[in-house]
Amino acid sequence: MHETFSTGPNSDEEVVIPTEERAAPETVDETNIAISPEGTSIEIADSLVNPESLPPNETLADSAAIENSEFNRTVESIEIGSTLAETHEATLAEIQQLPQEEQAFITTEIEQSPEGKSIIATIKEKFAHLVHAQSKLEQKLTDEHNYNPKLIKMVGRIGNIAGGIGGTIAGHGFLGAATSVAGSKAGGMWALKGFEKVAANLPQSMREKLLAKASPEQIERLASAESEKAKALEIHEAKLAKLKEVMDRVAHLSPEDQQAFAQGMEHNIKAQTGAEVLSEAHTKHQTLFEKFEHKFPMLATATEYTTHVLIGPSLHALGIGKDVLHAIELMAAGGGAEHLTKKLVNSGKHLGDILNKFKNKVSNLVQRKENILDVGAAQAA
Amino acid sequence: MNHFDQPQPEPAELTSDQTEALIEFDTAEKDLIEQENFGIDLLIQAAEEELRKIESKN
Repeated sequence: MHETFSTGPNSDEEVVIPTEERAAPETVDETNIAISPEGTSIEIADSLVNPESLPPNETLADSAAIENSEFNRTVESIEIGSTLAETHEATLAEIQQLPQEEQAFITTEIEQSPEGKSIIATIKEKFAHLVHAQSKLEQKLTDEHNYNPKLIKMVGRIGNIAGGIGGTIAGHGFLGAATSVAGSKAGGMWALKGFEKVAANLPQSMREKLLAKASPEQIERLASAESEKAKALEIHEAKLAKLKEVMDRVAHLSPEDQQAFAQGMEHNIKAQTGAEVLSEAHTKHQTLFEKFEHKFPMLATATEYTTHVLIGPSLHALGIGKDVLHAIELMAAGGGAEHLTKKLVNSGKHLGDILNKFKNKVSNLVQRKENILDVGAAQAA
Repeated sequence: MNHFDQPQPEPAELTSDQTEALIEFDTAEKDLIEQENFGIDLLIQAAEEELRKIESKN
């Protein structure tokens, strides 16, 4: 006999949970569910029930501040969890081979005995908390951190399955059904927490792969912003041409008149203000570009390569998309920072083009402006 | 070697965050270009004023 429970809003399917004879309860550390020695109560860690009690998600900029030991511990626990899940999966297949009569008998006992009813009620209550907590964490990862919602659902579902298997194995007997349900939600939370930790430490170029794609509304706003900027640039070029015309006139003055022009400009309030405005805009332009560049850093160092190899197995355990895995495999196969750099830069090609375009544009504008001013100053001198 | 000198495959799709960053960048850059335009305008006006003074003397 199988008992069927819904795994909550983040899952499309239901988990079919087999029941069998009761055996000695255990503690499932990897899912943060503790079952009492008597097998009559289940404790679920607060961190799983209350997402607010989780450590705040660190951004890439904060990653330097994260202690290595903490990060390594997270990675290690995910790797261990993955191995255990695989082992449990094999055991679950054996459990499912039990005779139908035995399973039917046990299920009836659970449903009719006061003790069984009490335990199941407790588990259902915990289960409800876990459903809520997992849902909130999914929302946080999607809304606040912009990770692709489909990816978050997938990570949660993988955790549900792994946790459900863990709960079944831990509970044995009639606890199996109920702990599978709680375990599945705890597993989902565990996977999402692991994802949150690992993803926060990913380099920017890889995190971008996991983030939500631009919406049509965003694309439209970007096109509008680019169009507005293009108009400003057209005006800019016309004004630069006009300034050049004026400077050409200065070039045709006699040396004495050019001297007079230079002295006049030096004391002209509009010329002084204009120079200050341009100087300030130039500085701001450089700062703007530097900030933008900082926001999308490209990676090249051997240190970062080591980090990639370290987190690779964890990403695999969480099943985060073939593209990312392929990138990691290539990095490992390449065995060097140069290959990593190439791969990551290739991934960020579009952004690289944009950066190049902006960089050249800024550089050209500044250069042209400086040339004109230099010519003007030289002529004036 | 510059990152951008590497051989480049197909372009990647823009993410939500990237798009917002680009919109922010474009908008800020447009404002700065307009500020520069204003500065150039002032320079042109000043230069024309000084030229007129010289031409009127002559």
